[in-house]
Amino acid sequence: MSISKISQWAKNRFGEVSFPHKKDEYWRFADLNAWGVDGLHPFFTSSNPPTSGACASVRLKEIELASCNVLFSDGQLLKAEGVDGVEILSMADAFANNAERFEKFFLSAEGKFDVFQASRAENGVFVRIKANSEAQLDVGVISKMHISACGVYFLLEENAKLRLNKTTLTFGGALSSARLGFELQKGASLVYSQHKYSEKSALMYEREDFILSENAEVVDAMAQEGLSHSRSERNFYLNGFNANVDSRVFLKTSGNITADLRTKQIHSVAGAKSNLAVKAALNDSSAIAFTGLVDVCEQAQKTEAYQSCRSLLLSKDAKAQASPILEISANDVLCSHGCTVAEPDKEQLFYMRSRGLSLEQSREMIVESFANSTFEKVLQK
Amino acid sequence: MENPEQSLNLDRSAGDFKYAEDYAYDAGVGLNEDVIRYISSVKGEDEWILNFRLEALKTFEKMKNPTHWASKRLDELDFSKIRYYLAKGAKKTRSWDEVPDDVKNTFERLGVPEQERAFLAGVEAQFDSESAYSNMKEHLAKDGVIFVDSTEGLKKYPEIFRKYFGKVIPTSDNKYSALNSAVFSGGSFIYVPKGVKVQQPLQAYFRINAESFGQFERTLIIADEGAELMYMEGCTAPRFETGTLHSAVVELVALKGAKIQYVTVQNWSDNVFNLVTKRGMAEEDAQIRWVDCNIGSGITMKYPAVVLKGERARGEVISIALANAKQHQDTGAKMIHLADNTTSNVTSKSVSIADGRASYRGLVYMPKNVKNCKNNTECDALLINTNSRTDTYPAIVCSGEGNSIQHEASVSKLNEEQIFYMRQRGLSETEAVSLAVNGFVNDLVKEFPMEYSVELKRLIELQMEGSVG
Repeated sequence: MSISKISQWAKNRFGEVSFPHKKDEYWRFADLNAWGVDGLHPFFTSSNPPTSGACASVRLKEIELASCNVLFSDGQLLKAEGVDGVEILSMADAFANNAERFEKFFLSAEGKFDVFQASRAENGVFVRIKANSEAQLDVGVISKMHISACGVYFLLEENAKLRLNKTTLTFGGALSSARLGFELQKGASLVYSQHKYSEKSALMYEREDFILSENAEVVDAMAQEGLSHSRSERNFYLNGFNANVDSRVFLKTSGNITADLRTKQIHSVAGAKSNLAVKAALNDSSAIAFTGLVDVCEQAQKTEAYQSCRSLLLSKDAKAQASPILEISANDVLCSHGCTVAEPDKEQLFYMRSRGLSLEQSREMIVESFANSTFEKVLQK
Repeated sequence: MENPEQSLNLDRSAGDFKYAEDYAYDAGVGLNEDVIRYISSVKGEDEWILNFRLEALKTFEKMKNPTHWASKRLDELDFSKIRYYLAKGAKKTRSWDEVPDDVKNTFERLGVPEQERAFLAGVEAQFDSESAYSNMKEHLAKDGVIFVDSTEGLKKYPEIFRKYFGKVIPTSDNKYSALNSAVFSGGSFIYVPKGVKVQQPLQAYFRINAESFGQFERTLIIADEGAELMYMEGCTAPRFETGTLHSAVVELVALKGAKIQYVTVQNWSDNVFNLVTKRGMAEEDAQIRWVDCNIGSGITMKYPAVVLKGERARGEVISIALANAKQHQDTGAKMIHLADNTTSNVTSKSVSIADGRASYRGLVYMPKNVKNCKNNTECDALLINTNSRTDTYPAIVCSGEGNSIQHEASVSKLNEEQIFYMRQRGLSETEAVSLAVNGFVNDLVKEFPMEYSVELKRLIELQMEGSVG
C-alpha cells in the first residue's frame, strides 16, 4: 500500500467509524458532546477563519519556539534542523524505504480519532536516531488553524539515546491532532519531557505508542494545562526482556473542561517493568477522566507493573473519574494499582496560613509539591 | 505450581446428589406470558402482581445481554430451555417432624448438625422454589418480626411488601432483574419492627434440585427504625450436565438507624450461571453490610450495592471469591453516596486456581452535591497456577466538598518460602497451599459467623485438592 492509499483508506474509514459508545467500558466517562460531530466537522468543511490567533497567554510568549529543532505548524513541517546522529526524513521518503513499518503504524488505527490522523499520513515525519549515538531534540507542535494533524515516527536504533523535549500549543478554535510512534530497539533509551498547553475552545487529541525491545528504557514526564478539552492516549508495549517504562503525568485543569487520559501498559514478554503515575489538580468545574489498563499476558512472568492515579479536588465542582484496570494472566508478577481522590489537606493549609501565607498561596504550594514528583525522574536523567 | 499444565481432577462428589423429581406444579420449559400466568395462578396472586410480572417480561425481552462489557458466555444461556417454576405439592410444614424425609436427608448432606438447628433462630429452607420448611422461634413472632417466604409475604402483608417491593432494584435495572421480576418465586420476606434487635441470625438454606431449572428467588428485607438483624444464606447445588440459571434479586431497606447484615456463602456446581442483583438502601445513620463468599458456579456476576441515601449512613462489602478451573467469578461492589457524611468500605479478596478467572468490578460514586463522604476500597488477588487470571475493573466518580476515595489493588502469588517452610514441617504440598490460601483470606473469613467460617475453611480446602503438585 502506498502512503497516499493509506490516507485515502483513512478518509473513507473516517466516515464509517462511529464515535465510541458511552456504554463501551473503556469510554464510560467520555464527554462525547465535547468531542462530537461539531468537534470534527471542520475536517470536511474547512473554510471558516480561526476564532483566535493571537498569543493570548503570557505562557505562550514565554516559550521560545524558535529554539526548536523540529517544528510543526498546523500539521506542516516548518523546520527540521540536523543534529549529529539524527536523520530526519519526510514520511513519504521514509515510506519508500520501509513501507511495512509505517503501514503497521498507520493501519493500527482503530477509533474515530486515530483514523483521522492516518488520513494525514503524508504530512508525517520520520526521525531516526542512529545506533549508539546520543542526541537531544526539541520539538514544537503549534496549531492555529481549525484542524491540523501530524504524525511523527521516532526510531531509536540499538543503544541510541534520545532526550526529547516537546511543546504542544493549541490556539483557540483549533483542533490539534498528533500521532507519535516511538520504536525503541535493543538497549535504546528515551528521556521524554513534554508540556502541553491549549487555549479556550480548542481541542487537543494525541496518541502516543511506545514499543520497547529488550533492555530499552523510557523515562517520561508530561505536564498538561489549559482551558480546552483534551484527550490523550498513551500505549506502552513492553515487548522485550528487561524493558522498562517510567511514565508520569501531571494535569492541571480549569474551566469546565474534561481532560481525558487513557493509558495501556501491555506486557507481552517476561521480565519487563512499567510504572505509571498520573496526578491531576482540578480547578473550577473541570474533570479528569482516566482509564488505565495494565495487561499482563500469560507468558509475561516476572513482570512488575504499577499504576496510580491521584486527583486533588481544588473546587467543590471539580470531578475525578477514574477506572484503573488490571488484567493479569500470569501468576509470578508484582502488580498493583492505587487510586485516590481528595481535597488539599486541611491541617497542611492551616499550618501554612498560621505561618502567614494567604489561602491562595498555600493552595498553590500544595499543588506545586503535589506536582513535583512527576518531574523528578526526568530531571535526574 | 511445579506442574502447571496438570489438568484438575477435583472431587466434587460432595455436591453430587439429587433426589427423584416428583413435582406437583411444573410450569414447563420456556418463557412466555402463559408461563407467567401459570405461576401467578398457582400462587394465587393478586392482579397487580400478575401485571407487574407481565410488564417485567416485556422489559426482559427488550433488554440485551450486557456482553459489551460482561462475559460472552452469557449468550450461551438459552432462555427457551429453562424451567421457570417447579414446586412440591406438599404444604409448608411447621415442625421438624413434619418435614419430608428426603428434605431432611438433604440437610444432612449439607452438614447442618441437629444441635445447631435448635440454636438457629428460624430456618427458612428453600427446597426448589417453595419453602419446604419454615420454623420461627416464638419470641421472634412475639416481637413482631415477620420472617416468611416472599409468596406468603405478598399475601399476608401486602401493605408493607408493596411499599418497598421493586423500589430498591427496579425491574429495568438489568436484564436479569427483569427476568426475576417476571418469574420470581420463593425467597424471604423479613420485616423487623422499630427498635427490635434480632439476636440470632435468620437463616435460609436453599438448593437447586432439578435439571435445567433456575431459581428466581426474591428477597426483601426491611429493618424499621433502629432495628437490627443478620440474615444468612448458604447454597450448594448438585451437579448437572446442562447449564442451570440462578438469578435472584435481593432488596434491603434499612430505615433510620437500622442495621442489616447479609451473609452469603455460595457453592454452586460449575455449570450454574449465578447472576444475582443485590442492593440495599440505607437511610439516615443506617448501616448495611454485605458479607459474601463465592465458590463454585460456572460464572458468577454479583455486585452487592449500597445506596447511601441518608446522612451518616454506612455501607460495607466484604467479599471472598474463589475461581477454580473453567470458572469465572465476576464479583464486586457498588457504593452510591447520595447524602453528606456517608462512609463506605469495600474489602475484596480473590483466589484464582488453574485457569479460573476472578474479576473485581466496582463503582464508587460521589456526586458534587454531597459533602464529607469517605470510601476505602481494597482488592487483593492471589494467583495459584501460571495460567490463572485476575482482573480489576474499578470505576470511581468523585466530586464535591470534603469527599475522598481511596482504591488499592494488588496481585500476588503464593509465597514459596512459606510453602517450603510448611513442607519442611511435614505438610504435603496440597496441605501447605491450602493453608496458605486459608491464611490469605483469613482476616475476611473471621468476619463470617462462626458456623460459616468453619464451613468456609472446609470448602476452600476441598477446592484446593488437586490444584497443585
